[in-house]
Amino acid sequence: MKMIARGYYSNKIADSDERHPVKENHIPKTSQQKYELLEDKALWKAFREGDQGAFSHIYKTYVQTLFTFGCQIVNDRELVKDCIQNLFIDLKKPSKKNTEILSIKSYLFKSMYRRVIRMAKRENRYLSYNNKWETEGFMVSFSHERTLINEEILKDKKTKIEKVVNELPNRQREAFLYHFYEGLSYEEVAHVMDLQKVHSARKLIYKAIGTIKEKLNPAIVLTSVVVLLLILLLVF
Amino acid sequence: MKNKQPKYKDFTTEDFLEDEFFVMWVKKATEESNQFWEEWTKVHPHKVPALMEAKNIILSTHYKKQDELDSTEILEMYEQIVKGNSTQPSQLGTSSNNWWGVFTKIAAVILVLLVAGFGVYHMNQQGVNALSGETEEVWLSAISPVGKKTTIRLMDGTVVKLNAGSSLFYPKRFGDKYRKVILKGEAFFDVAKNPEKPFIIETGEIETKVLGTSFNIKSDTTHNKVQVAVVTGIVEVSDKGGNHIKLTPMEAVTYDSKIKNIEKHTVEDMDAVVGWKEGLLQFNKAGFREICERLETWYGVDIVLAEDFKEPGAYSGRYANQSLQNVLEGISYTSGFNYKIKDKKVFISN
Repeated sequence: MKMIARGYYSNKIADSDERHPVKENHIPKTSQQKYELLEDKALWKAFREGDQGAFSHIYKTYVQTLFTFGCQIVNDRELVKDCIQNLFIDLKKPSKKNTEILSIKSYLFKSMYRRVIRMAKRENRYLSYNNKWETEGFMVSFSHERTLINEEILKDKKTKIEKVVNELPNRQREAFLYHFYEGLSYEEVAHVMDLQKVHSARKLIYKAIGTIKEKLNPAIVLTSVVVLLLILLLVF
Repeated sequence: MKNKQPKYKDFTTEDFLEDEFFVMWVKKATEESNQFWEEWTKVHPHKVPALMEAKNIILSTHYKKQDELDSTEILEMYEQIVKGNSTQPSQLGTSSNNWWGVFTKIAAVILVLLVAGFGVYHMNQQGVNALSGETEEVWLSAISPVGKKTTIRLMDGTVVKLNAGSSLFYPKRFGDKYRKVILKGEAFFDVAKNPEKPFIIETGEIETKVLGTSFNIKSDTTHNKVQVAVVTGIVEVSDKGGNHIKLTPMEAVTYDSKIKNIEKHTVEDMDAVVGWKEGLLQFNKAGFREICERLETWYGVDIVLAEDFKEPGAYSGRYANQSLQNVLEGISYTSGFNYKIKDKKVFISN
């Protein structure tokens, strides 16, 4: 996935097709690593300054993720593919180049979410407000492949967590996946979900984990409440 | 970050999950966070099991519905982006299950292909980033627009005849170990012999490996099917499930990507399979919908059915290098419908 930029430029001289999409030719042969090591902001800056290699690197890094994500909202491969295509085409428009971003991923996700919903609506695919995604959309699953010493016990725990998470309200489940699967920070989750405050994103995730805690260890929760009450009684 | 240390000492698995700094370390470690957690585990060895459990839970979290793109789709989309062909939302009639919904979709696909082929005389050669392989090379694409067949000679001497509406992606230079190409649609391969460098064709979830032979591959994404038929030589077809099937002349396999099933069978009428490259258009008990799809791709036209059109039954027939008018004349006579050709459109009614 990360090989493109380099091969692209190193072979450039031999392929002098005028329709060649690359305009720059001053990028060094080892540019491939350059993009990988770049921090989000620097990569975005390079892209904004017209670096085609940076653009294709962004595409390669996020195309699969965006697809899996889009399919959570609408179960229609072609529609999701079109949204990704249009998203990247629009990204190249000069007017979009001055956009300040929090992170590339959260920017793409937010834009993607809106596009899919918009297009799905146009196609009359949009379900009711309460049931806004496809049946299996934003449902969580835990793989059991990673081996650990306590895998057997953990497997059982994961199955329980899976059940609890999948019964959570939509927004909590969505935030849960953004944070734990997509690796978005609270701030990024707030951005993607159109929440005014970072605090609101944290609250959604805390509520989700709180429910897990409660459902998995009801006894512990009870004891801790009792202990807390005892402490309070002693203090006052 | 050191001040975080005391906070973590009574942590349970769930507490770790509530800690943003911890989760971000698991998902995307930085030098700073690595150092922090390394030191931390040294100071709190008894908390390691809880930490590992939290880490495991985070790493095994994923969507229940994990749809993915294949490498061909990724390349094709990139091509469209480079060309700047955005899809107009109104063309996407995928929601309805009726005839018309399906029909608009077919028309839209053809339209996109026509746009893609426009202004490119015989073959569209364009550098495309290699998105799939370990090799770092320039990839080229050959697109055969609808209504037109294209012949490509690869650098190793292999000749590929692309049927209308199909595309082939291939590296400018083949690697040292094998010669790999990606096909979307239908093509006839006459592979140059080179036992040291097998020729591999990727078609969705199917890979065909050959040493030097001629055969036909047809991938039909709308019907989730890939078919490989051998004319001469031996080829090996593999799917992602680890099945390997050897094929000799007059043998073929059909892979159904929807149910992940691969099936070997013999070819009774090779002309029906590879005849297209000689301009032979053949229907073998074909349904009306299949006939329309094939005519649209073959002649690069758009078929429009009358609103109250009643589909006729299956049809068989054979046309060698015939005009659209002659073919329609033949089919309409047997199946009993009226047609009118106007520019690139065919209007059909009962």
